[in-house]
Amino acid sequence: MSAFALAPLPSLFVPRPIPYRRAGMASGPARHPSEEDMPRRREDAAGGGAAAVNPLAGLLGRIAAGDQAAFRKLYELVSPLLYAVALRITGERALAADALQEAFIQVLNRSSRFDPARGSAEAWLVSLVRYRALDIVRGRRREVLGFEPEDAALDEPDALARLSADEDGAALRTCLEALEADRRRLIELAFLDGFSQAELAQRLGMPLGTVKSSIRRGLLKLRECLGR
Amino acid sequence: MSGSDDERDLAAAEYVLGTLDAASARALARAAETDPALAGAIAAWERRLAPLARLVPPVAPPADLWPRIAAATPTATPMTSGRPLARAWQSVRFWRVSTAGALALAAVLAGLIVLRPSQHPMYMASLTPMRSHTPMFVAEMRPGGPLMVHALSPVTVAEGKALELWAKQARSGAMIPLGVVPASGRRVRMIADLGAGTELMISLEPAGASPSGASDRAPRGPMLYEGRLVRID
Repeated sequence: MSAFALAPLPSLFVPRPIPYRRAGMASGPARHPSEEDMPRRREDAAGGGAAAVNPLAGLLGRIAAGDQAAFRKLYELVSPLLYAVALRITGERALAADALQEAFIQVLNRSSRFDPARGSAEAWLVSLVRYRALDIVRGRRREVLGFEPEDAALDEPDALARLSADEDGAALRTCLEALEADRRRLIELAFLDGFSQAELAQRLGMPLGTVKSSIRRGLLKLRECLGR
Repeated sequence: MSGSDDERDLAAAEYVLGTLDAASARALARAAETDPALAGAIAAWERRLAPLARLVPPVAPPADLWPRIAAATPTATPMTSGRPLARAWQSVRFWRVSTAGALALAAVLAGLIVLRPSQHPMYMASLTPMRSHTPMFVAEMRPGGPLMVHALSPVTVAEGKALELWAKQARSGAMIPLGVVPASGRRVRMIADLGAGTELMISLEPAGASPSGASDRAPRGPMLYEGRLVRID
């Protein structure tokens, strides 16, 4: 599948109010990205290329060319998603902010390395943030007492609708739903919460060997199902 | 795919999933720098799995995060160019290191306070995790005075949870709630009339469940730290 087939991802961010705020979060009004923040269609049509289809990829291209406004715009568009991802893994606002800061510095330094033909811009950005967040939690071990992942959110209609917002996500959802419940849960918890195999085994009361083999079988099934 | 290709692809998948241990993850990332096939396998798995991130509801980042990023990226703002000191001051690592230093200093100061000779008899307890001997909190009290509790090293408590101090009555075994202990390590005063031999415990409770005069309340969450008050003359 070509990267050009991707639906415009920012549809994820535009209309949706941020569903909840944790107590003690910055109290200033959150700035929701609006249509005005999107690269204008006319410009994109004139410029052609991936930007017309995927604004995030277009922004990364402009950042690589030294466009500072594009860097800011990218931050406004994706930081709520990326911050949520980092917060979920680190379990702490300050650490999530550290992960995001490090990731955005990398975005600036590596934007020229992003190749829209090889993958989606969202996947590239999500990966940068996840690796930074995982480095942080691995570095200090998980020492947040009583931190519980919010499993319940995963099966909410809203969450599933967000997952299916583009072709990649819809395919992943179909293939996840075809997995055995245990395997699906292990893969989701590992990806979203950054749990190691040992932590997963402890949390779910499963033997370590079972966790390891279930994850591997689940991943092989996913690869087969996604067919690429 | 051959068996070894399959194995490499699975390693790439586990790397992206985040389940490799730190050493294996570093080794794989290094190998990918010089191995385009491995880098491609990682990119393919990133693309397959990344949509999962959308299962997490978006959260607005703190308002001060963009200014921090702008300050740390010289091309995003001209303000920091050519000022290495200013940049170091704003870098995440700098703050992490200095915070660690400040906390170590705080622990030493706490030790001095605890070990300071006193003219009066005192009661002290060091509270350690259930399966460890490293003290995490120290409680001290003069006869008839308030119980002072402070943390020796930083403790992080998840949102919606709180640490609560309890005293176990020697005779009845009843648990008396003494109040919430701030995880930040500040010294707190707790009014209590306790004596030597009293067992102190800290449990993890839902936030907001702290006692409001109800002395018959029992701990709901797990006991995390315990220690016994001893008399020091």
